[in-house]
Amino acid sequence: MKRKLMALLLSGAMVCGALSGCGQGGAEKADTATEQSEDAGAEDAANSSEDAGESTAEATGDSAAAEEAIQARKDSGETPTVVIAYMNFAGSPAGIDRISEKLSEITEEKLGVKVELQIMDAASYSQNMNLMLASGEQVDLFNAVSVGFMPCVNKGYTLDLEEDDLIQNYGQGILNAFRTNEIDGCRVSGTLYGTPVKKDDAAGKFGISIPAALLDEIGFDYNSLYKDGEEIIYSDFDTIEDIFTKLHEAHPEKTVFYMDVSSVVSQCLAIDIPSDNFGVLLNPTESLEIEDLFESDQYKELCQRMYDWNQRGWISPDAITETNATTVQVKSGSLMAYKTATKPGIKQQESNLCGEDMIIFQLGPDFKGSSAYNTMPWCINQNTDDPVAAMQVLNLLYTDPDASTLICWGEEGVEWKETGDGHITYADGIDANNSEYFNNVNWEMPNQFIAKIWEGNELTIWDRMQEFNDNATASKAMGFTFDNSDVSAEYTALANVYSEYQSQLELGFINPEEGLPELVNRLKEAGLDDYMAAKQAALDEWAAANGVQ
Amino acid sequence: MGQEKRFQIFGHIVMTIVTLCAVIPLILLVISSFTDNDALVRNGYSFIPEQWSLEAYKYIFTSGNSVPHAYMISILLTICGTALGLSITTLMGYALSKTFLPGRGILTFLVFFTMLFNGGLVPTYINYTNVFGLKNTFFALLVPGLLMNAFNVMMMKSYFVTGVPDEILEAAYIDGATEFQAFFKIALPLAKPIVATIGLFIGIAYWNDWMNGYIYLTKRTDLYSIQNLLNRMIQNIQFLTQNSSVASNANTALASIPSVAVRMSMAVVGVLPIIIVYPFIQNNFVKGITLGGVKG
Amino acid sequence: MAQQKKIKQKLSPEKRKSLLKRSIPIYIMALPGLIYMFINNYMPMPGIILAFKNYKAKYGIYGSKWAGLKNFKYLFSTQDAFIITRNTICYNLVFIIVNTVFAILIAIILSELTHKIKKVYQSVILLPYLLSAVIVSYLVFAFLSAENGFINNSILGALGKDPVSWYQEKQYWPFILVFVNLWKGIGYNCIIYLSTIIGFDRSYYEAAAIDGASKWQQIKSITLPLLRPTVIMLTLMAIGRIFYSDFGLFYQVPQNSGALLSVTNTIDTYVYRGLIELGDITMSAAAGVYQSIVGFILVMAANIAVRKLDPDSALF
Repeated sequence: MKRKLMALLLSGAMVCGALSGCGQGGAEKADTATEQSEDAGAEDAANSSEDAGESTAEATGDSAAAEEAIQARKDSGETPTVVIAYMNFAGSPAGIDRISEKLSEITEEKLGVKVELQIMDAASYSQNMNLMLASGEQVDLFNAVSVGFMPCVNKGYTLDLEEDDLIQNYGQGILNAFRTNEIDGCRVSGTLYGTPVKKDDAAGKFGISIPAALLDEIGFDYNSLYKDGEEIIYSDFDTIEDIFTKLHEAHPEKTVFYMDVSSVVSQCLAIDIPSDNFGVLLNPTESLEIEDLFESDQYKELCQRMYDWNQRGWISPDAITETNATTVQVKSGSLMAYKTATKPGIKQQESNLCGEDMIIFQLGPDFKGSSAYNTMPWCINQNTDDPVAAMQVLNLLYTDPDASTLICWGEEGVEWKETGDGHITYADGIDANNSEYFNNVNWEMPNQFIAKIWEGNELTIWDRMQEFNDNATASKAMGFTFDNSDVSAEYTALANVYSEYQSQLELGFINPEEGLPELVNRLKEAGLDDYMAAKQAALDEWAAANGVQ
Repeated sequence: MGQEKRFQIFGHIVMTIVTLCAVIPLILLVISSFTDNDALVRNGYSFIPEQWSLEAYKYIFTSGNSVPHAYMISILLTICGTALGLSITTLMGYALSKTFLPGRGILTFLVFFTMLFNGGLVPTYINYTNVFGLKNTFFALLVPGLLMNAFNVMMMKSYFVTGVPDEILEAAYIDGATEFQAFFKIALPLAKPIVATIGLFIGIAYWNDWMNGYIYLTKRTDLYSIQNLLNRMIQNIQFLTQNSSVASNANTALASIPSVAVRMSMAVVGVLPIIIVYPFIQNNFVKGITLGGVKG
Repeated sequence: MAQQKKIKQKLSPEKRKSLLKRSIPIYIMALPGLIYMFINNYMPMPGIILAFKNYKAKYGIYGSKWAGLKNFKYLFSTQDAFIITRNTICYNLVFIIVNTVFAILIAIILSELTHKIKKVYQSVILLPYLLSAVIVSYLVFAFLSAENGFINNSILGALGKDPVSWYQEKQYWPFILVFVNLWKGIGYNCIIYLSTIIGFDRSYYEAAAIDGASKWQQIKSITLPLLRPTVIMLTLMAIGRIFYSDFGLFYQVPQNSGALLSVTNTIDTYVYRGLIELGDITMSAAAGVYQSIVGFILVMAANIAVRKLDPDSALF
């Protein structure tokens, strides 16, 4: 038995470690998208009144201090290792050690630091990170997704990034990649605890996705509705309800509409939801007054509409207990339309997910709320041995296209290859199932904008994303984070009351005329007023500190 | 004897009903795992599927996670765990059954206390990771929490107290047996029913466990047991479904997982070995029990 | 059996020295268990103070500032405190009774059946125990789904009754949950009784049969009384966990449906709903301490009562 065990353990230890020849292709040919992204980055830098230069070396913003630190490290002959932790959906990939080594080659040359990747799956990431951070294991850089940014800050897992001017000296490239107010989104009570990621910061509210084939079938002409060059049809409820009526007539056996309950409020209403639904900004472009969402006209109208849709038989009687993703339902042919948050590339994304051409309608504005920049920031562990090295590695990931491509897509020639038109795709003989590094969590990586672009996306996707982020209506409270640790008892009670009504109201299973007043009362009893007062006080304080009127 | 017969008939009727209750949902489970995923999403679970499919099994056996390997780990873990755990538990239960043992009350209380109070996840994790360095090793699956639990020790103790009469042991001592001889030669054979039962409990606990792997294995995916593998797959799919805002960014490969059928087939894969192995274990148990049952 | 123990207790005074000598091998036998218990349970035990701390990673569990009872506040300062406590206790009490009665019934039947097929029965009824709560929730959904569920489509349809939206009608759920719990656990729960019954001395039954006792009389006057210590012990241990609830059963099986919350919300699900966003390890530790302490008090009280009535069955 024992021998068998040893053999097993040994064979396990040998699984990883194969090193294949490194592809140099990435470096020689900087594709157009990358250059453009850098330009976009430069624009941002100009906005934040930083002097951004042309060359990559300067874009990384290497300060004298940074150079010194690198030199000192190289002279000392010791190479510290920086452990980088993040989440994917399949757990530690087979190629993790190889990618770590490839990335280390870059970081060793440029920074005199080695890196080690720690990738955990969504199922256990939050648990694993909490335990690792609490037990003092080595984790230097981590993404706060799923663990939650505020919980991390509250437990003191996160390092103050401006301690001894850490980010100013060693993370200039990060500062250059964002505007000041974007970086400020990761401040809690004035202290900077993380750095945002480059992703879709805004969201198009109340997007609705319908298969083109079904629209053709009911004779709905969507082609004429496209404004030039746009992938989304900006429409209104009358049009949608008209479509739904026809869809229902054509296919009474199918469900017309479904939306995932957890994101109804955040993806349908153009309001700002600072941290949670209990106390929101109903008019976020004008006022900083925290109001009760559940007494608002917007929420009532939404519930009323859903109740109406449900009464018309458009929503499945099993909607509350649905356990399948919307796209899976569409694919199976049981669902005809669903809600989605729109952004550039959405049409392609939803079509890929559903396996057929989808038409995207949008009924609300593009909107950017207070939490746009702190949903999944990168943080440095307060326990790290070498904050400078950690910051420099993070800085590199924001500024070095090769490093970014490596962490996003893996190694050239092994995981991916160039297609010749500026895109990349699976390397020969590789697919999503047998790839040794295909995380597809680029939205969580520091800067996917500078990585290579996968086949099927437009090369200009990140420019359009930047434009989308910039043009979206922004909340005045953008950057505000509510620390609810002093009212956590109220929060727990509120969350429990809300979960009793949420799915029933928001999917139209109870009449809002009866259900809403009940919910409002129960929430009041659970301490909503105190909670909102605390949130208002925190917001006022934040506004005063940031000079927001 | 008519009365005996009536009882037998009554017994079979009750057991048939109970067995059907247990087996019908399981048949549904197996059938669903062989059903086309789209049909499942469209029509729900059905005993007579619209369309049969092997896709789900194809997925779990080819998706990069080695199911046979995970089986090996599970089997190894269950065997090691049961052997070790059962030894420790039996010895402990026997010791606590000795009324003459000084400090018996305190020891029993200490055991019982662990049933209600524990240090919590974070301190336990720190203990095993920082003090004992078990993280990402096979021992992380074996040691934490499962080797011995208060419930089993108490059951064992109580059986030794009531089922192994002291006179027999006293007789052995008079014949010159040592404590160890008395335990192995007399007490243990008499306690076979409970040893078999607790062994089964420990075995099931090891087979079913996924928490240890979930907490202690972050890098060594090659050490995943079958339950660990299955639970992770189920939870990842669930995470994707419930967090559509994040999921919408996820790739098409994930969207193409036959998720409903996969959940079902994974459950089948997890239970299947038990269905195959349990009758054999049971046979041996019954033999052991009847051999040990001669007493008086 | 009770007398045997008393006889031995009387023996001990004069043989004290030899008993002490006899104790050494016994301690050696207990040693592996004691070492494991020390490592697994008592080394992390001081961490329980996490529940009373204002945790900051920099200072660690022991160095963080005391928070008094602040972390416990959320468990009590809510209108739901009564509902979740009531649900947790009532379900557990019903589970203890229902599960014990059925487990004993099945164990007795299985022990008395002579046909070989009883092995099949025993194997099959154990299987539901091996399914995870998520899978159980899907199977339950297969029966209760409003659109495609078997109960609505096959049974209620055949009877000409209107379909029921099971996941929105809370009056059915106490029964559904008790049934699912019984269904899942019966095979496992009956094993312990079955092994105890198999261990009984068959001569009692033979003697009773010669005296002409009926099957029912044998069960009533031999099996049940002999099972009493086991029942009492298992019940005592269950009482210790009366403030805990099976999260999977109360959260996954009702599919987290809001309409059912007043009959499905227990302490564990309440804590989960609050903490899933807060991620506060001190608050979850506080919930654990609360559940442990209440369980501890209840079980100690019950144990004292048992010791008065039936000293041999007490836990210690």
